[in-house]
Amino acid sequence: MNADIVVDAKYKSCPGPMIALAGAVGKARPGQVVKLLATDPGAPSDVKEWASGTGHEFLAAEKSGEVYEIYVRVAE
Amino acid sequence: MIYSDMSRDIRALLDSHGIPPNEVYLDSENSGMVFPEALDAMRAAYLENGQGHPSITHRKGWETYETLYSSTVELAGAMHCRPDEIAYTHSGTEANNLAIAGLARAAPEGRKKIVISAIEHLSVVFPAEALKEQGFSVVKVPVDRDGFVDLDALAREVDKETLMVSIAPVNHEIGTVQDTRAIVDLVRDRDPEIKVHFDACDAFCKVPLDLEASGADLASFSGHKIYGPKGAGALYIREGIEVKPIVQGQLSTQKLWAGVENVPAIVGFSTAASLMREHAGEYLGRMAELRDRLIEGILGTIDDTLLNGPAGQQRAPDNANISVLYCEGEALTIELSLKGVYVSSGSACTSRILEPSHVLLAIHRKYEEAHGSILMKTTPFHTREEIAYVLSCFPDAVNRIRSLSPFKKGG
Repeated sequence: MNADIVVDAKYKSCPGPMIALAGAVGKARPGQVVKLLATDPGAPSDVKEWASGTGHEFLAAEKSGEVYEIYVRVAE
Repeated sequence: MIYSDMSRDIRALLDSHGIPPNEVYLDSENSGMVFPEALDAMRAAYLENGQGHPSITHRKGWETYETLYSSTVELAGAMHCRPDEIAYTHSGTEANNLAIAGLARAAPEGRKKIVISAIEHLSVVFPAEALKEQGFSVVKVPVDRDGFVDLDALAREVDKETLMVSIAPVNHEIGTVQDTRAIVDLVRDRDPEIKVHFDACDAFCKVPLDLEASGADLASFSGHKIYGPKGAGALYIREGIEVKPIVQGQLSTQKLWAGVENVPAIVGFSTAASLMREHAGEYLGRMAELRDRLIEGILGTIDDTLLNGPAGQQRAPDNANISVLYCEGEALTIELSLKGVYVSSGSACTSRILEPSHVLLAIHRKYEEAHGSILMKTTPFHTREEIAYVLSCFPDAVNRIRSLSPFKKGG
């Protein structure tokens, strides 16, 4: 999946990945896709709930080795 | 594009959440609310009578020593022990580490076995397991479905090689109130040389706890668990029990924990203990009533929910721990947070895996039941109106998380 912005939060424990993602989403333009790289095991479910609760769109979470690649589309 | 600006990002996360119109904080398991009186006493300690280093020989030092000693006398009264049996640390976690590692450092030859229950706090589990590198063995005694220690199993495990038995009188997660008298009697009957440690952080000021009468040799305490400040912990060490320091450095009045004491935090801790002692009937009665409203309100209105731990008098007055099936606990904490209800989940990233609570697995909860657990603790500060608000938020929050959850009923 293509992303407009990549946020690297690998090896950060919670809430590090959420903080990094929220910062990127806050800077992004509506409709852009942000990819979060995280190793924290709680990141996929946390992002999924945060995105849906704050109006953004959770697209996918994929795991590659120990790294989660989590995609969120910024609210229009 | 890759970028990072931590301060701005934290603000962005908070802004995305917003400030809910109502807020109810039920997460005193992780970090407590503080009595205003404790804050007032701490302020005075910072500005007036606790500025100095209590072991330095000048007036400010002596004033601070006096302040520290007064607090110790108050705490000793609440704990039912002597002031010189209290050693300060900066947290309950440090007190548990000192109890286990410090006792192990002083262990006699042939005593290399540590017995704990299967539901102890990680600040007991991890230091005990760390001692395996030094030739100690660690045995975890099972508990029943309500979290009560299996006394027959305990009797089988305790022997002449046992150094210590460490069991919390009140479990931090499911609120089980153990029969500490039976545990101490059993251990003493097997071998009076075995030391008994209580992780009393969740028992202190919540259930009757008389250290002199209990027979315990060591007991850990935490300031923030009784609505004092973070940064104050204590270890009770019965006279005659040898514990060696595990932190090295310049000693102050505390011979087992190097570094200057956090005197203002200790003052807040002792003030909170005095308030809890003075108003025990009122506070504990209110906490238990609100706890039961929470439990009954959730179990009565939401399908597929389970109470974790015992009900009634055998449960700590503040503890409400409920598994919400077909729900991810972490996700539910975020959903409730968006509504201004702050709780914690039984799942935690303790070792880079999102693991369900070892406590809930030990009481035979299934993996998915443990994953969907929510822990709430009532305090003397909460009101019926706040609990009603929490209960009004729960059904919608659970329905939404269930709609997103990979755990499906019948799936």
